[in-house]
Amino acid sequence: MKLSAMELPSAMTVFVMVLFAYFLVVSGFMYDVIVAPPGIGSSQDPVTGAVRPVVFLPGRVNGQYIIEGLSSGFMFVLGGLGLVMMDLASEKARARNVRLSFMGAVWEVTVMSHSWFFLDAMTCTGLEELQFGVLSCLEE
Amino acid sequence: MASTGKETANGQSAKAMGPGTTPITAPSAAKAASWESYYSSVKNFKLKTKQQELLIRIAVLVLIYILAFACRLFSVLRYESVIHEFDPYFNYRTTLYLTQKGFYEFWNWFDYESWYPLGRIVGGTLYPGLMVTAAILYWVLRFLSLAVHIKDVCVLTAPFFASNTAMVAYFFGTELRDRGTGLVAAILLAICPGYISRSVAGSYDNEAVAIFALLLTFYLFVKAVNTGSLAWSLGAAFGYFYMVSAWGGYIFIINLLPIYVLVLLVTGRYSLRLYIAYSSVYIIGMLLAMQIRFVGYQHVQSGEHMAAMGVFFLMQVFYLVEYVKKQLGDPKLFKAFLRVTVTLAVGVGALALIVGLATGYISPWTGRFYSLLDPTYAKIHIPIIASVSEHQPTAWSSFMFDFHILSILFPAGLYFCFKNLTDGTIFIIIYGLTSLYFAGVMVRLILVATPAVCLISAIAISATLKNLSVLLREKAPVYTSTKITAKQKASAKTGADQPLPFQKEGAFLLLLGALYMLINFGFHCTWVTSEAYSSPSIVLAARQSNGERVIFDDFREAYFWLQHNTPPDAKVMSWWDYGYQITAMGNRTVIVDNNTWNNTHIATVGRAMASNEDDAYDIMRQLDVDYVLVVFGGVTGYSSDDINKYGNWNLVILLEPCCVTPIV
Repeated sequence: MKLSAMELPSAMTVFVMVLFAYFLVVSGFMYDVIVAPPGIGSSQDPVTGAVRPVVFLPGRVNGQYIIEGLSSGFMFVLGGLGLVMMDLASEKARARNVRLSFMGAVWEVTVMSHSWFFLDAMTCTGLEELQFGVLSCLEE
Repeated sequence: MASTGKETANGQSAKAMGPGTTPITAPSAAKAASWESYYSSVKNFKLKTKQQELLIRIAVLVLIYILAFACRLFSVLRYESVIHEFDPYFNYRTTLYLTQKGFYEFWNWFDYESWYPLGRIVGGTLYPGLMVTAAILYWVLRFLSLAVHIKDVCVLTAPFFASNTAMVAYFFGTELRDRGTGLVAAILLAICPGYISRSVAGSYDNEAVAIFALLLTFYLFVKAVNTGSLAWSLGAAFGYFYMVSAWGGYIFIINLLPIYVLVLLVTGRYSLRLYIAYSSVYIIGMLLAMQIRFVGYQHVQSGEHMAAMGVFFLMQVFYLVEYVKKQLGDPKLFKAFLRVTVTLAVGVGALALIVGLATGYISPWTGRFYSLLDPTYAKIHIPIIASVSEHQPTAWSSFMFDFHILSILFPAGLYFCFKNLTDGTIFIIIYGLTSLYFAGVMVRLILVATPAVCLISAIAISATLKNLSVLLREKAPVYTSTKITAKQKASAKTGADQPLPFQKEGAFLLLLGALYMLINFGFHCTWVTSEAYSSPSIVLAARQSNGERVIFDDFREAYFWLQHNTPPDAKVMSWWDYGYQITAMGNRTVIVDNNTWNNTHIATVGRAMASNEDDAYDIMRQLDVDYVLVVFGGVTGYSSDDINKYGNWNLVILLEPCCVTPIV
């Protein structure tokens, strides 16, 4: 029973909108809006005085710079899309060359998202507090 | 099945004995024959595939159950069986009272030992589910003559319920897709750090049983919507009652169900099953929820619960319209009726809402939950809520820390859910998205999002593994018939049926990659549990410069000093963080504690702490204080002591214009 004459969008359209919303949430958009950190950090080399950009916020667990958050969120979504393409590639009904390009995308995305995982270590750089056994940032 | 094996073995051995040989009737030969038949039956012991599957499934579930319990025991093994943090000490004290004095005393308890001189109506201001659950476990164990101490029952309640939650996740995954998904969902939920953080042994807090109740309610509701059965709806209502008794987060359920129903109505999936499920769950759940004194009449009076009521009436309108549509044969007449009904329903609903809000019968959203919709609200208006560190918004690193690869698998799982939409998958999509939004607003709510993320990721893993194994096992198409049909010709042209190059090798490599990722996930979860989430907070550990580990037990030593060296009616003033621990371990009256229900009282204490000594002394005399407890971490470098807190939040709380009382 339909009450209005409006056309509902297709499932895949909704999926794309949902994916974009997920990208915003997981890149810490709320954190950016409320806490308003700088876009990217900077540190000064003590000897030469040159200003160097710092990508990952050091020293805290629940903190980020804006660009850091957005790029991490992008990597998460890219990894997810790789899995989606793998499913699209395994459908037998599609033309062969389309399937081939899908598989190529799968490999590229797999390599990229895995390399991001090795940056997992970066998020753990500021964890001297963990060694102290007191996680004042995580728990109360 | 063993009998069939034996039969064939007997039949075979009988055949072997056959017509050629003469049957020897000596008992030794008969014994040898029976041994032989037994041996060959054991050799031919082969389960049918269905039974193999059942055995594997049950073995995996038992292992998941044990694993979910065992991986939460780090702090018990490292320190001792001790209650962690602050809030669990209040829960422990009330559970102790419940087991000592009985349920009626507990339900009507007025506690004069906290919030001096105001006191606190404990029976009417707590969620009893956790305490009653632990007390029941304690009484059951005692009945079985296992002499356990209530403290150990409290410490191990959370891991026990975590194992149960993993089992519920299995059933939920089975309901959503298939058994493989269920198994993957169970193991993901068993070790996911987002859930472990609040359910580790010793974390005796409401969330320990609340997440179990949440997932159980959702599972039973989805089952009710899929089957349309009244029995499942009743189960869901009782699950909702358990959730209401356990945690204030039941607001999430009572708002998620109407959103889900609305989405189903908008996408044209109205059915009689949905009507039965939602109406039963709403009415019976609401009646049951009113039995908890803390909740009271909120289901009909509070603005946060109005969405459920509105959708309930909307469902009745839908049912009425469907009924009339069946009775009326005339589509034109029906259209007119529809227009009248819709305008009337919307008008009456809006009028009722306006009247309710205007007269004040329906109270507006409380600050705690309004700050979830408008995250900037708490910072400006309610600094005491904004000061809690776990109420901060979430950065990407917390998502990564708590979810690891699940944050990559979540969008893939969403795709698979969108690919074949059913009532169940729509539910899990909505649950996942809303809970992730709230997790983005407040770090603490990652806990609520964890079951949804685990379920959706399980769908992704299960579907991907299925795809990959299909690619791995695909055999090359064999053209057996001499007549090549037109379809085969066409497909041979486009090459759609032919396997991709290196298909088997590629699929195998990707499977290995998936295995590597999942193993990595397991290692990450264990590391996170061990390093980050197993700290009891009441016992601190640090590493000296020579690498030696030092344990600080200062908190407990201070509280026991209070208990031994002060008169029993002494009143202790401290910052509200330590109130519960002082009453539970020091057994002394406190001025303010973690319940934070009276901001003026807290501001008075804060003013005393922040003023110079003469003013502070006057305030303390007025409050009839005998001792003051201050936490100082300067020597050891403990960073969350009172001095550090006074740098940031206490003065903001103090300077709230509504809450500063002039001390005459």
